[in-house]
Amino acid sequence: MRIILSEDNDILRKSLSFFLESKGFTVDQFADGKDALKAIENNSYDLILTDINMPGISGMEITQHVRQKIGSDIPIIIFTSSGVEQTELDSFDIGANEFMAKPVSPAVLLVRINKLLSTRV
Amino acid sequence: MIKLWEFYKSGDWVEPFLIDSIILFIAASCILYLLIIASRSKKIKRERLRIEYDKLIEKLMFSVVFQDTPFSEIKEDKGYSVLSKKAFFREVLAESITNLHKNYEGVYARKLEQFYKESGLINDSFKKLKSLKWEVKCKGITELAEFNVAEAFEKIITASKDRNKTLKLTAINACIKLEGTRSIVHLTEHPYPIDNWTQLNIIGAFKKHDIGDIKGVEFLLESENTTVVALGLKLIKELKLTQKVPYVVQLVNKAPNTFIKCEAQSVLQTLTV
Amino acid sequence: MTFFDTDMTWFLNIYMVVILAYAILIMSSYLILAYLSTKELRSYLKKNSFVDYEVLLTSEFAPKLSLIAPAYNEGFTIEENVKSLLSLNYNNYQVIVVNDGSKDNSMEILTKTYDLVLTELDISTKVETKKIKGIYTSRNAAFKKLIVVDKENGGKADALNVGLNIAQNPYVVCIDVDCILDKDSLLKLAKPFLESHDKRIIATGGVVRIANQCVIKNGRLVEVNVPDRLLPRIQVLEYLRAFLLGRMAWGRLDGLLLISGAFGAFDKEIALLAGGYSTKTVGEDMELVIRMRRYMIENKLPYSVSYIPDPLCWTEAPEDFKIFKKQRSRWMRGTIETLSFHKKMFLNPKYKLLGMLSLPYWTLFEFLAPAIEFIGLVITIVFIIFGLLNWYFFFLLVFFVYSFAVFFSVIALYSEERTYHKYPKRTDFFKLLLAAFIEPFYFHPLGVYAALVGYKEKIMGTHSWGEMTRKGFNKKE
Repeated sequence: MRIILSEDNDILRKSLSFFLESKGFTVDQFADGKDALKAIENNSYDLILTDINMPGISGMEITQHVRQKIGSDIPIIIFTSSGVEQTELDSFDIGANEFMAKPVSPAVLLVRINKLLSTRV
Repeated sequence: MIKLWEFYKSGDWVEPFLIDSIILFIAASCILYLLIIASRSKKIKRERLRIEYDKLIEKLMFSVVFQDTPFSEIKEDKGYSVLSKKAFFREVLAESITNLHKNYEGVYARKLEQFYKESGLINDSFKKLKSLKWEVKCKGITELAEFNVAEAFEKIITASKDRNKTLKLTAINACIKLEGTRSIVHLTEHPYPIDNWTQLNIIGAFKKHDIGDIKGVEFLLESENTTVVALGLKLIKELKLTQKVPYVVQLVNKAPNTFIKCEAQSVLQTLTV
Repeated sequence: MTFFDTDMTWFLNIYMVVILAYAILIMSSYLILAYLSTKELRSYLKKNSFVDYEVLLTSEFAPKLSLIAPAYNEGFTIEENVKSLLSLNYNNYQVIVVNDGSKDNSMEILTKTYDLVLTELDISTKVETKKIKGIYTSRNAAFKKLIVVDKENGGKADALNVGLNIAQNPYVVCIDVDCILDKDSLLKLAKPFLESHDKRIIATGGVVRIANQCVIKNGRLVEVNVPDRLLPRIQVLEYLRAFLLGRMAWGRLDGLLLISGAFGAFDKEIALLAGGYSTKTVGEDMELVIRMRRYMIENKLPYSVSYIPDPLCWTEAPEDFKIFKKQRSRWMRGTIETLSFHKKMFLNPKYKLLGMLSLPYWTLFEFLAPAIEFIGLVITIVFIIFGLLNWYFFFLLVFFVYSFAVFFSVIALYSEERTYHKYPKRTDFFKLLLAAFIEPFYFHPLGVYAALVGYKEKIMGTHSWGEMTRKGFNKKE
């Protein structure tokens, strides 16, 4: 299973990649939203993991682009540290499947990822 | 004096003054230039070191957090045992694990806390508290609060009564994170006025630590420090603590000034709608 | 020893001493300001590393803002600019774009892009303005923050006043629509309004930096570069000096006269009580700040104006001389108009620091300096013609001033290095250093010339703003 991870916090991104790869996933990581979007357009992924606030393009814009412009229904999980309720609601409106607030538990993340992927297959 | 005036009038001073000034400016420019170059190369060197350290730190941290590697094994690592004696390495390490701890919760966070204590980084933080510079104290407080070091509470309370606004704010936030409602008592006795920005930060800290019912908010309303009373009112309003309404009513009746009275009334309006 | 080889020694000596005294006065005040600035800057940066701006995003008590962006013939870039304004990191703000009778297709572009419809808004006209043709909002919920006002042409001040009348929030942020803002700019600009408990903060301003040849993507600054062309490059240096070594010190003394018209926030109530922007001057940004301060002093209300040294706004500087000349002569006209409107404050103790220090400083140095230099130049030429000039002293004096100018620029570069370090590339640093050496020969005379044009225009009664032809921010990619 191929996952794309878009997160600008370096150590967080690298550690999540490490964790997910140790659980058997292939992870492509990006620190910039625009680069991530380009990769999504050129490759096929099974799941998108993105932070909400990033330089370049926000997680919301990525979700919007994937749902509307590309028209894909790839599962998308958005995470954020903001704690603003409106953002949560907005992200579901735009088409994200799951919303995880930081601090995250990698174990819980794993469970959610597996759940989303199993309902697809 | 007369000699000085004669000297001045004769105009003899002009030439040496100009020449000396020119030399001074040129010399000072050269010194500044060298300082700039020095500062730049220092930054470049630090960046290079940081990248190098990051590689090792990531390797070690991931094995601690995800692979349950005990500290005794980490200590054996050649790279770690050499570098851990360098202050800059420990600085980068502390930043990295603080960053990770902010983003992870549960068992992963606990492992990071354990590493923080066993590796001795916790002692670095305590040492920072003793520094004379406020910004170093702030750094220490932030680290101790992040890792939930309850023993540091008393020392941080002392810092929160400092004049320096930033130190005060960082300390108060840390206290709220560590002990929640216990810090309310200390806020009530706070000697200096608390401006709106600090108040907002304190409200933010309470929100983050999910202190549900916030026992004791009503004590804030009885403080002699009117800014603390205002803070209490804002807390009640923003967190929608309707169970505290009776205390707000009490405040309206014996408000120390009109501003507080208006604020209290507006809180009542919002909550009893 | 005398300076000149004739019997006119007494007069000529006095003249030389006066020039020297003026030069020393300027230099020492620059150095004092530079010292205060750097100290204040370092202190700010230390404090800033512990600030959590997120608090403003989640609190209901965060200042509510109304952004006012006057637009005139900005059709080329208006879509992207408005989009970037709508996506700033802040909750609870509105964007009011005021189309000041543009002759191009700005309104069409906006109407199409944002799905605008004519709306009824209940506004009371607190300040007189030119007629409003229509107020528009968007049918699309994603753009609910946006209000577009179409009005008759009346100039920037008039457009801003329309914004003041319509704004629904207690704080207004006046910006140039083509300014590139940092995502967190509003957070940083709003914070000072909360920070004082005994004085009312009536205005806050930040640092404006030059965006020429920087890489802009989607209305956000992505890469900072120093322009290759000399004219904009030297302006980068000039802005560094002015903001890092000057404004910060005035901010600390609370004697700041000028909040840049490109990006500044104001307490709406006080701005309106003071009378709104004045349409009688082209220096409306500085004039309003002085008038607001004056209002507070005359009404004995404790207040303060805050200054944030963070670069919050990036703007395009003139790249060719014609536009540069128009800009600088306009600045000079604005200075003359503002200083004369408020001449009552000059050296008047009732107005405390403002009247006793800020205004005299501005008058003596910003306003008079070009005139004094020009007179000096004329006298020097006269002396040369009559063979009265002692060449040795002349060159000594010139070198004295030149070496100070370079020295002061190096101080600015040092300060930039120790604080923001926005120009990390080595080539950029050397470009700026080279500019410091060339500036006194190339840029400075141009600046003085433009200022003189400003004097002339003022005397002859010119009122126009001059058009700034937008190049857009496209660096060769």
